[in-house]
Amino acid sequence: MIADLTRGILESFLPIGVVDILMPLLGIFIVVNVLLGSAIMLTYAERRLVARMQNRIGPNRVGPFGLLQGAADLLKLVTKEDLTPRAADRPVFLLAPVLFFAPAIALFAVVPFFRGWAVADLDAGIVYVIAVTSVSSLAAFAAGWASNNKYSLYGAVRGVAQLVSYEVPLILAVTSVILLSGSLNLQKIVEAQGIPFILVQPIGFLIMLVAVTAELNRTPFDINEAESEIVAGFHTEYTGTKFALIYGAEYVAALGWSAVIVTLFLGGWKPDIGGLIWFGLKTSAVVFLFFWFRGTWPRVRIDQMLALAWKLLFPLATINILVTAAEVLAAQALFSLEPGEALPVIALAVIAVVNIGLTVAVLALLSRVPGLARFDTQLAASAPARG
Amino acid sequence: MVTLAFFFLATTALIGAFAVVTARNIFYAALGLLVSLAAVAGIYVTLDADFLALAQFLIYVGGIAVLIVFAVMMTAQINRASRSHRLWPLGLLTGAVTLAGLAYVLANAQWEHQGRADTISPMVGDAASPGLHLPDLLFSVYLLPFELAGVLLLVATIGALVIARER
Repeated sequence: MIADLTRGILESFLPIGVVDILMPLLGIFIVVNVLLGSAIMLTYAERRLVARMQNRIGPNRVGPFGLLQGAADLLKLVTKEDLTPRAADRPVFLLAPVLFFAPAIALFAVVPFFRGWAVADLDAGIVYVIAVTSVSSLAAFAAGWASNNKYSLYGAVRGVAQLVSYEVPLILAVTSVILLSGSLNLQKIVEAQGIPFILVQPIGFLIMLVAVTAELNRTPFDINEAESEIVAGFHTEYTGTKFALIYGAEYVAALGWSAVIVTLFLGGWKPDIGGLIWFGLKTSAVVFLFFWFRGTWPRVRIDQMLALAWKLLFPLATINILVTAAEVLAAQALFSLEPGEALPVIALAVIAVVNIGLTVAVLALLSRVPGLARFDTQLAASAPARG
Repeated sequence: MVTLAFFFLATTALIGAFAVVTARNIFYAALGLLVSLAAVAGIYVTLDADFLALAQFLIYVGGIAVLIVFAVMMTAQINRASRSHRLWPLGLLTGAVTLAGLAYVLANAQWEHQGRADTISPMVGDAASPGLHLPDLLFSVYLLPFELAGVLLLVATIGALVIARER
């Protein structure tokens, strides 16, 4: 509706060919700027929220309630001297922040903000999400390698190991959603959710949440920038605008992955009424979850992190796919559906009840496995003492 | 518009390929390869083969490039590799055979446009093109290549374990 209106205004004084090129550019301009603004506000929101959780006050001096803190920080970073270490590999060093930022922004090209509202409504939208974000491991390595600093390289090696490991359970968790919805198109996945897939696919949601936390390098998986061990990891040598780009890219990526989780598991823009409000609220809730993790949990060690991915999440996700596939086949046989047709709400409800039961059973069982219990006490031992 | 995009992407792919061959630094060569492969993915998009483009990007840019990065990371003193080029006759032979094969394919290919390139739908039961689905094809017509690829990956995994195991 707004798009048609804008189109009409532009066509009144421009040739139609130019308008055809201008309209997508305008859409991209709006989405990118909303994202950058949100990223700046998120840095403020995270600092205030984590401060609240840790019984501190947080930034409250710049503007009302400190709301302008993010903007002030950005101005400070942009006006800083642009340093490149003499030993650094200059072209790659300059390229790395761009490699971080590009996939984070590109993620939003396929996110369905509302029915029919997406910059590009790709048929294989979810494959696009996975393809684009797979560049981030390369960006982490480029940054660490080009800095020519041993702490940067340690951070980069950890980062690549982490991203490659957690991509496996992430893709498997996404596959279970594809099985249920019968489509790779994000709009169709939203429409297939008669019941939000978080209820139908609780294990998939948990795996996805953990894998995305690792993919975003957020606490408790932020070992590649662990300041207590390796200074600041792969971005040790970055200052000024380049650091602002890397830092901002992390928040844009957090927003992007939250939007993808909302689309896959929380029903996307549903319910229909209220426009963008529901999508915005759900995305904010998932982002808040990530902030909450940061305020609550200590950082894991690298071996614990890799063990979690390969020994727990990977087998669990594989079994989850087998169970989901069997359930979908059974539902198709019962309701005599064509392959790929969306499952009716009754079928989804039955699958949801079965899967929630299975999840509770699996979690109860896992808490009794001796190896995992040790893992738990190791985590507790490495946590700082509570005051 | 599409022609313009094609020439831009083709030039980028060639520049990337040239960088792969000429770069002394292995990481620069990897980046060049990445640019070249990403540009080829772009060419697939201009041919309406969206799924092929995404698969190309996912496997080559996200997978192969990371693999090369791992090789760079794990190999000690990679920048002091042998520069003596003792194997040049073998290289020449491989290059010549590849060139001959590509030339044969180019000369004998049917270049007439035959509708949408992406006739194999990646979707399970997409209404637009019923009948031909990637999973159905994979588990019927192309079952043997599919299984062979699986065996190859298994062999590679075991090989990597044998090499990496501490003695």
